[in-house]
Amino acid sequence: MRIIRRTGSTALAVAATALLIGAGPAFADGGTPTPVPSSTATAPTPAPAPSEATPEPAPTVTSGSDDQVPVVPRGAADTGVTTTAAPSSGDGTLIGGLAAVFAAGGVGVYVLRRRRTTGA
Amino acid sequence: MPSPGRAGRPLERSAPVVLRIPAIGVDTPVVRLGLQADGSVEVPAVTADDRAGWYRYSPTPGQRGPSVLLGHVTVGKYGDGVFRRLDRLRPGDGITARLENGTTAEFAVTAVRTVGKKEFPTADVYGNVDRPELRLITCGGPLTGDEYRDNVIVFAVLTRAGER
Repeated sequence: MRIIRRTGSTALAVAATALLIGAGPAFADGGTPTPVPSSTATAPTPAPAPSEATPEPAPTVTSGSDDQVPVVPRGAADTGVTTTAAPSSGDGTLIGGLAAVFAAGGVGVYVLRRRRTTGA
Repeated sequence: MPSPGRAGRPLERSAPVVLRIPAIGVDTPVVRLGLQADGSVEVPAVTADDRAGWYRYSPTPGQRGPSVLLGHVTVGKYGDGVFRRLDRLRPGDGITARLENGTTAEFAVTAVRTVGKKEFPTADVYGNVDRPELRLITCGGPLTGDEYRDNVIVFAVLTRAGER
């Protein structure tokens, strides 16, 4: 009897599994196709790697132009960097970043010492 | 010493490599400049020993047309730029450009103008002229925030050209 019961349970499990497997394709085929995200479709476009040299736009040269300066820059020239302007802030950022790292390290050391002191 | 050639006669195209302005103590190598991503003119690097730069879409010094060179007035924490005293030039002061091919072009200042950046005289700087001329550009005027309000522009004309 035990064998029959076990066989019966197994058959039931197999039938249920078959139903579940069968339901999958039926649902996919019969229903409205839903776009499935693929790895290639959703892969983020990698940002251009930063480089020191800013890519220069292709100069627009007027064909047949007699201009002695065929590519005229836009606007004025930015030929003065003050002491408070951007270049010095680069170093400031670096220093600030290092300070943050050291500060985080200091917190870690403090926590470790607390744990050792309390035996944790 | 360069041997004098015909005064004002245009030269062949050859990039400038050295710029000398004795009246204000300038003796600098010259780098080549192009355009920045926003279409404005590229400027020399901000360094302790900053240099002048030649806008490479303009004629070379001594060619017919306006040859445009730029330099910083100040370079942030490094202090004065190579064109710090450009506004002290006066008509008649001499400017010498040594070119890559060994030729030397000598210019005389004809005008020094300080103009607001918002009213930059594009046509006067980059427009056609009927002789070899030079334009030296830097910043000047009062500071507005982190920027200079004006550009100082030196206009000069070729007076003599020769080979080394």
